[in-house]
Parts: sequence; structure tokens; C-alpha cells
Amino acid sequence: MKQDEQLFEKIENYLDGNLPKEEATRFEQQIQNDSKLHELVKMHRFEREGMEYLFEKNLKQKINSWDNNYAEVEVLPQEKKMTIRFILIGLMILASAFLFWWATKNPAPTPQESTPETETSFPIPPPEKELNPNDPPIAERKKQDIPVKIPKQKSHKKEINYLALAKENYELPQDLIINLRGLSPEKSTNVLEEGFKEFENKNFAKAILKFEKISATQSPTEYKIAQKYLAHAYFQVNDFPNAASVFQKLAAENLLPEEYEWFFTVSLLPSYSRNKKTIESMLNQMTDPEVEHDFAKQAQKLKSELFE
Amino acid sequence: MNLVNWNDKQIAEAIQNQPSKVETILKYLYHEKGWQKAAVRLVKKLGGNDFDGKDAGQDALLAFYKNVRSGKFLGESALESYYLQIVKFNWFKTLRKQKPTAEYDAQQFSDTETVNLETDYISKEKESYFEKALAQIGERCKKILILKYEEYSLKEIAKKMELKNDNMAKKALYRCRLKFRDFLEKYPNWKNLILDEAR
Repeated sequence: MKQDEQLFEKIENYLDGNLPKEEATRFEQQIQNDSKLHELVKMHRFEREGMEYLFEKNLKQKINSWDNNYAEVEVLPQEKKMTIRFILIGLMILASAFLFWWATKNPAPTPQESTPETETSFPIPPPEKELNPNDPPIAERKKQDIPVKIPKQKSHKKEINYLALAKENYELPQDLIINLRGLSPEKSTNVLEEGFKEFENKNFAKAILKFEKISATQSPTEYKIAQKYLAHAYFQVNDFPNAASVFQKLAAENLLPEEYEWFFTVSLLPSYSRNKKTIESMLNQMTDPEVEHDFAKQAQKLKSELFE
Repeated sequence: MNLVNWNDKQIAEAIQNQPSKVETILKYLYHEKGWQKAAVRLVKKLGGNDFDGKDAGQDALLAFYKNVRSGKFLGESALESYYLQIVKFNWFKTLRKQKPTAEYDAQQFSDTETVNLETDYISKEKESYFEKALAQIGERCKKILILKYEEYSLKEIAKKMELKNDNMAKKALYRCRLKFRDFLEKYPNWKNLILDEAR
């Protein structure tokens, strides 16, 4: 193990160009003569490429988030920001002056003067109605009374967070999980069973690996079942292009395609700009009164969120 | 990091050699220097809308980073012009996909950097491998690997990841790499593909 770590470090140093020239040349010769070592160096290179991919993916997500954050900040021009700052400072000065006045007018009571809480000078609002034993506890009711701050609706289309919209409109069909529980092991292969198990435990990435192994030619029935779960598993791990592609295929092959059509549309949302036309046409089709689509209501709601 | 006084050469060099600064630099260029707005203006001029512009601006920023990092940017034009050339280039590619029959004038690109506007993205196959392998290693390992890629020292990685010392960071890094490799060992087909590709 220790030896492995040392070799690992040496390869890293070699690839980083941190080995002294003579040692690097010696190591290169060693690589050429030792096929195992050669393979190991290739693997290292590949792993570094993986790290680069991870870094770029992370960077892309960050770039995306900058736009969302900046969209809100940019609404305020510099002069407005200054005015707000002055108003806030003014309010803080007023609040401090009031607190000072209050403290001098009502000095804090000494411990001897302290009174029970019920006799405090702060007014207690009278209860709105007689307490009923069936009412929720006071803490709960107070919670309900607190005014909820509703975030301002973004008015411009370009500010819609399409990823969030996709997630909002997606719900894992409960029958998928229920069906899983009804399957008996003798009816399916090990791979399908293993996939189900991972899916049920929400290990979607592992479930994908299992379901992808099932081939259409070897076991067509199992393939059909697996595809359904595969599409949802892709969605769960945010692999929307693959999810969309499988849902689309399922919609084309099934006699009752409506559910798949809906999930296909939802999977297209995160890349809205690229899929705008398809999304629009799918939603129009689903909301067509003559079609009486199972998901017409959801489609109508989504349509109004996207286009109005 | 005050980037106001940095010239293009310093910025390009930092992008190439200091991965930990990349995010700050790109954010500065994109928003403070107004590249995003310029991208939106350009795409609107070329027939797109605000949304297209924003989308194209984002994609081009990543392409810009990749090209500068890989040395494709030769320094023959200003960084901002180069970025806007990528925006334009990518936008035309999008249009071409939408309307394959329409013709777009290649002359619209400046001669100097045109050949270097294309960005090398990894193959879909490899991307799918990375996605699957990375899904296995967990969020903590992903963070550690990103920090390593950003060339943070083991001491800094230990601090950021709340590990006892740099030795623990080294071990954690090693374990994360093994987890990543584990995927290859489980799927020899992938391994063969990678080794064949590297040959």
C-alpha cells in the first residue's frame, strides 16, 4: 500500500513536471520498458482529464449561477443603490436616537423592582377568541400568524430558472416504487433485480449502471421495463439529455404515451433555449382540448409560466 | 485580488497557470468588464434575443477559458475581441443547426484567430464515463479533486476540507483517486477504450 502511494506520487510529480531532469529521463525509460507502469501512467493521465472535466463542469454551473444572481442586482442602477444606502443609514440613526430616548425615559428596573412577566408594561393583545382545546398549540398558531414574505415574482422570461422549473414539474410516479415491491425474483434476471434494489434505495447512479446492461436483443421484455426506470434514474441524477431521449423513445413505442410525453417535455426544460421549439410544440399538443391529454392541466400551468 | 490594472497578457497567463484564480477572473471579465452585456448586444444584432445572447455568452465564456488554457489563444487580438469572436462563431453554429440550408458568411470572422475559435470538447462517450465515475465518488471527493486541480497545496486542502493535517489531505486525495479508478477496474470495456485512445 505504502509502495503504491509512493509510486502514485512519483507519477503525479512526473506528469506535473516536478521531477528533476535526470530522474524524469530515468523514469521515462522505466515506463517504456515496463508495460504495467506504462498503463498506470496512462490511467493517471486519464484521471487528470477527469479532474479537468469536473472542474469545467463546476465552472459552468458557477457561470450559470452568476447570471441568476446578477440579474437581480442589475435592476438597481448605481444612483438608486446610493439612495437606498442613505435611507438605510438615516433609519439606523433614527432607530438609535429612539432607543436612547426610550432607555433614558424608562430606566431598567433593579432586581428588587422586577415584576412577574404577566405584569410587564408591554401591552398584551387580547385573545381574538376563546381558546378551544381542539385548536392547534399557541406556538403553532403564532407561526401561522407570522406574515409570510412572498418573494417578488420575476417578471422577465429570461430570469426563469429552468432547472428549478423542471424539478418542480417532475414527480417520481409512485406506481414505479409500488410495482417494484410486487416483483418476484424468479420473474427477472439478477441485473434487473439489482437495478430495482438500487432504484428503490435511491442509488440512482448505480441503478443506471444496472439498467444499461440489459440488452434489447437478449431480453426484450426486461429491456422495456428497465428503460422506464432508466429514464427516471437519469432524471434523478440530472442527466436530462439522456432522460429526455429515453422518455421520447418510450412515448413513441407505448400505446399510452401521455405520461412519457409529459416527462419528455419536463426533461427538456433545463436546456430551454436549445429545446424551446420542441417544448412549445409538446405543450401545445398536450393542451389541445381535442386531445384530452392526461397531463393537460400540468401542461397548461407550465405553458403559462413559460410564455406569459 | 484587484484585477482592474491587469492587462490581457497577465490575465491570459493567470488563466493558463493559476486555476484557483480562474473563477474570480472570469467573473470579473463577464460582469465587471461588461462582456456579458457585449455578448447579448452582439447576438441581438445577429438576429437572436436576450435569452439567446445570455445563453451564447455563457457557453462562449467556458469555450474562451478552455481555449486560453490550452494555448489556442495566440494573443493576436484583444481578449474581449477574441471572446466576442467565439460568441459569434458559436451563435452561427447554433443558427446553422436550426437552419442547415442557410448560408453564413465565413468572412465575418477576423482572419487572425479564426482557426482557433473551435473548442475541443471531450467526446460524448468519455463525458458519459466521467459522469458515471464521478457519481460514484461522492461530493466530498469531488470537492477534494477540484481543489487539487486548482493546485491548492495539501495544507490548504486540509484546511478547506477540515482535515487534521496535510498528511490526511494526501491520504484523502489518494483514496478519492482510487475510488475514481475503481470504476475502471469494474468495467474493463471502459479501461480498454481509454487505453486504446491514449495509444
